[in-house]
Amino acid sequence: MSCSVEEPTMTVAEKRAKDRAVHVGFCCKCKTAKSTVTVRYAEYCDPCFLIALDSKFRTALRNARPYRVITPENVMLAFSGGPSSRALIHLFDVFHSLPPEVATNKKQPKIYNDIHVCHIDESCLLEPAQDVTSSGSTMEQARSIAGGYGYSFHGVAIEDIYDPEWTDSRCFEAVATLITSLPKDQLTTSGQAPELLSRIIPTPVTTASEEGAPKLSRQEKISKLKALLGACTTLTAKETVLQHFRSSLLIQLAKRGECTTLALGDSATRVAIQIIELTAIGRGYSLPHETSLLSSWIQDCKVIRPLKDCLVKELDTFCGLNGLVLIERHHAQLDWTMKTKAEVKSIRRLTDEFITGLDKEFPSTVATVCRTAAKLTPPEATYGQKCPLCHGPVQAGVQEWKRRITVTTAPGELETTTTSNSTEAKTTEISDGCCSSDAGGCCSSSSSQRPSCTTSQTTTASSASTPFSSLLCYGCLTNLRDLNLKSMASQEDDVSSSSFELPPYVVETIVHRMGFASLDEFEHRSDAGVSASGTAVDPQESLRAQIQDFLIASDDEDE
Amino acid sequence: MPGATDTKPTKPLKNPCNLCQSVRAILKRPKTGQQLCKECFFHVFETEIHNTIVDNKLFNKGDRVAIGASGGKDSTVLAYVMKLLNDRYSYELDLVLLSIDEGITGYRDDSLETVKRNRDQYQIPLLIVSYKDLYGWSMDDIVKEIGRKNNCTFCGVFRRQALDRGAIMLNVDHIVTGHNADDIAETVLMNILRGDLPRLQRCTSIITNDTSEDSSGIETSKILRSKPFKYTYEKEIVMYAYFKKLDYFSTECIYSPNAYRGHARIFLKDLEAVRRTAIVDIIHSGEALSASVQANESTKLPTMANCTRCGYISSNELCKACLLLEGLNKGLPQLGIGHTTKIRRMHEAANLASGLSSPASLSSAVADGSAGEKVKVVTHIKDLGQLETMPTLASV
Repeated sequence: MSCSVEEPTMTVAEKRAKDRAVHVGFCCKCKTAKSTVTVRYAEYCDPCFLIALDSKFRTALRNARPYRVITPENVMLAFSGGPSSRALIHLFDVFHSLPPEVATNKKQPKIYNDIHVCHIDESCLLEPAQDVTSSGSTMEQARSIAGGYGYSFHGVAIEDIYDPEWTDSRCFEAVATLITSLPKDQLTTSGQAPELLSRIIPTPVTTASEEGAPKLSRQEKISKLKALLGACTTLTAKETVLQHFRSSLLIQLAKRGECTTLALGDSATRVAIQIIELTAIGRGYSLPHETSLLSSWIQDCKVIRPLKDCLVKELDTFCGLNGLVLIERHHAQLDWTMKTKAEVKSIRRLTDEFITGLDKEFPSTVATVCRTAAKLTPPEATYGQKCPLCHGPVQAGVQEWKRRITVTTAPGELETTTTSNSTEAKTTEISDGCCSSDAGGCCSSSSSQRPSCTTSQTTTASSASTPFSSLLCYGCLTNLRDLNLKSMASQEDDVSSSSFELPPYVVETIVHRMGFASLDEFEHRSDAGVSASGTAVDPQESLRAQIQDFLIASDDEDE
Repeated sequence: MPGATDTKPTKPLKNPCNLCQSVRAILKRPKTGQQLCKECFFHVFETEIHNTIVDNKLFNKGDRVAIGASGGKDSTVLAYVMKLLNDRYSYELDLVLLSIDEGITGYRDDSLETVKRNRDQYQIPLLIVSYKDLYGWSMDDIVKEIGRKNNCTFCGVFRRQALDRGAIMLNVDHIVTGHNADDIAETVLMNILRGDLPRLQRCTSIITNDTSEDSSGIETSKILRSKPFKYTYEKEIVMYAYFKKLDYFSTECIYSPNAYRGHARIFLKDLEAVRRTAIVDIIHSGEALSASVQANESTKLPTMANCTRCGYISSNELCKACLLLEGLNKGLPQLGIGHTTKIRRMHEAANLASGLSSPASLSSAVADGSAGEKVKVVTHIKDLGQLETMPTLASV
């Protein structure tokens, strides 16, 4: 296996470059002007380069959506402030600035009706040391850039992921904590990854709150976000979780702007890195959705990547040539959250270095990798069964797959009893944990965390455990192994011993996946008693089995 | 562990094993980071391989299974574990060792000595098939002829066929090879980097050469190949060999360096250092991607036929091994390397012109090349049965 010659063979681009050798020093298009830009093997002069890039963009756009469309759609451009998304806005503008004779022609329908620009402000996660000196928020810069084109601007801060408003139902007022199925003392000795459960904590219903009044202060949201990131022990986990939050917010922004399409500025370089990274973090199943030119996975919102054929270097040059202003330090680098230098390597960063390095030696790497993934067909999965954390498709039986290839039982125990063993253990622990005596303590202590918590009307609901690990996709399951288990509560503990909370959008999906239509319904069922929720119609057979397992145990405990 | 109770009220162990809690841990498991004692490590290591075998239904009772043995760590551990599991779980397999002698002085000759010792230690019969016997060329000869570049192409193509031929000689149903999780993860990455979708689809399947799908009636060897170490980390194999004090040979092939794959391997090691589950995660991704490829109609495998010369399964008229061999015998070693279509065509044209289109050219050339020696030239799989000088099993 290690010895077989697998050098990449000469690509079409390389061969073309050979043919072009006669024009060395001149633009390969017009062949009259001196070349100023080199892209892989081709040399261009400035005007020809711009034309070439523009036509690449148009081709991609046409492939993402046929020109002959009946109803024009609204599109949301995701703008981070970097060169790629900056170029995206400009290219869209050029594309839509039709010459007057065409614009007046009613027969020529517009491809996209309204163009909106959105931005996620991540300045709360920028390195604290520099935060003081820099201007802080990137929102205003982004707004002025969008304003320059006359596009309507939508902005949100990354910490708003904790706002009940940024969910599908737009008022999902609950967060969740994670609890481990094993008691804490066993966690440290067994060294194995426990089953994770979630405990849903509804945020108090603010009846008198005025329209638009924030239910959580900005500072509270920031501290919640930082607490969650703080519980991740690796940079890889932090970056991945943050990426899920970004995606979730972008989709919400698009939906709010009444856009049916979300355009991302992912360049070819970025997509190639992402393909390898997603493979490395176990997200191969959702990879086609996350890297394709057009993905229709998300309900009511298509995601397109029209810059998928442009190298990041081309986009850099494009921004330079057009004199486009970028936002400096727009992207949260989480290096500073790591305590030691040794940890400042994430899978994304490694992949970045790997692909960039390889691309220098073999300049066709990026294109090859992108083409590989472009030929993949997305898996057939139901959107309703999406992963709570990343909203990606979920494969069945991933936990069992892991369990079979990574055995964690002692020699004496029979392999087949493993699962039943752990569920037994789980059930007893659960009956220990979720009783009313603990709930009182939970409420009072959590109220110190969240000053707004004044009433105890929700304690019964909050004490019930809901599944979590079993709902996740493989990638998220793997990623959450990097959570610090000590930061979670175990079954005996009250909620306060958990140092972080999962944002409302995650809880919303958990509740939906359990077969409840809304939080109210979930609370109602939980209040009504376990037997009621035991009979609740659950779409997923295996899931129901899991819930029933511990519901029955709770019954025993009550009697 | 929820079932393990500490019965001895002795003083607490300083560093107890995470699983049994009763013995001091002596190693940190590469796959999980758990601290284990020796016995628990053996248990999880062996059980995982057993699970892989059972879950994928690799064998049927009574199967005759050849273990591809090179003498290196992977195959040595594979031979040991296969024998152990066969006895422990009564697979009722008839195990044999099959080694390929590429003829690389200073590498394979030494490693084959290890295999011979393994044969005696594990009481498993052994068959050694050599390139020299099969093709008339040893790797040393080939390198002398073509230099160090591209020699791995020859070795790889020849080995694949040689294994099958050895398996036919042994009349086995199944060949198991020591490919480990690291190898498979690396191959997944390589195939994405090279854009090789058909291989990306195939590389994660644990059993290959599964002919159940095609009913075209083409004569293929019905011998299955599988990789019981698909989910076993390379580091753990080394660890297992170390703690079991297994006798293995650890030298890299003297002709092997490969730049492109080397990059992928280093990258994989870096990933593993950042997240130890990365290898398994890549395999999981690879399996998912493989399903995504399957749905795509545009990447069908080439239709399979039999080589007109040797009868081995091939996507062309002439199989790759015969093509390479012909190149060697005619002093055109570039034949079959890189983009072969053009050279193939040129060559066929030249063949027609000189009237040399009969398979006789091959066997005569081979016979010439090794004149004076007692040679066993196998040119057709069908001929194997009639072979007079059939290598005998060095049974114990």
